[in-house]
Amino acid sequence: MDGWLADLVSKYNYWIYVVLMMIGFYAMIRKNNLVKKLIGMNIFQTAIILFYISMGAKRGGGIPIVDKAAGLAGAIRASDIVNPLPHVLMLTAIVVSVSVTGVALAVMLKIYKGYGSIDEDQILERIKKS
Amino acid sequence: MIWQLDLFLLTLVVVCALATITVRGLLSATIIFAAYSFLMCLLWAEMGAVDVAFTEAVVGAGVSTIFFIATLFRSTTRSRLLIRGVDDPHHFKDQGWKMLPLMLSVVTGMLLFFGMADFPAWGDPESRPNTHVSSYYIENAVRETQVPNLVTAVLGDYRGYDTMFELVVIYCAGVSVVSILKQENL
Repeated sequence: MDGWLADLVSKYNYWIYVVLMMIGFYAMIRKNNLVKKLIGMNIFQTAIILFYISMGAKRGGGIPIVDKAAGLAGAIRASDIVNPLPHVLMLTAIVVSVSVTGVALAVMLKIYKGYGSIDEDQILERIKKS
Repeated sequence: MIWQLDLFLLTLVVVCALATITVRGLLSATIIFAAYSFLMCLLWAEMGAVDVAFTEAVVGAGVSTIFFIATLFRSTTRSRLLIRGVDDPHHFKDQGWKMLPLMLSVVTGMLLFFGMADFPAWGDPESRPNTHVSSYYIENAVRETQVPNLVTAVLGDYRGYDTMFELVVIYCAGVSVVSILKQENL
């Protein structure tokens, strides 16, 4: 029981990431409105980014901008600086996520022009009628 | 990283996420989502990911919100969400189906919780993601690329092709948005 509790406390960042992901996933499946679905998708994406950034964090680590002279002399210890690799990957992920959001919103606007609604059940009804 | 601040921000983030999917007005959902993005950006700055934090502040909290508001402005903020009780899609009206999305997300979450047991403690400098290849970049990037910002060094030099094709992604997204919106009769 004690080990389980220590586990819970030492990884709380990861637990919260799972909770956020569940919220986003739930909104994506369940919500009726297309804007709400998109917001759910965005929450899902930021949760995954949070997960990666948490993985790169180090206790007592500085930001990944180093003194150039120390860097040239090779005087930097890897344990003093947080891991920069997840940051790089997640910069790409943020840009891709905003691209996806943009395209999805454009499609949504077109759906609104065609069916006069951004609610899923109304759109489905109008598709059936036409 | 300061764990008190981290826990405080994480709590606020979860509250914002819950609020943004439960609030009924679409414009308010968008604004709460912007607040969520900004809190996320604070969280990342707190964990030392300054580059990710300012990208999120610009792109996530800024540009995304502008996209959402512009779309709502051109379509409608009027939603059946505003009427109590029609939040459910047509096929979820049946009570049995109603529980399915919740069950699915809880089962997925449980699987992830289960997998998380194998993870190293948060912020452990000796954990596997922090020891293998990344220490090479931290120790040698300045010497090899002359860039003091390690994230920029990896982004622009070691992973230059990745960044280049990221621009292709943005270009494709822009082209598809323009072609979707220009099309006259769908």
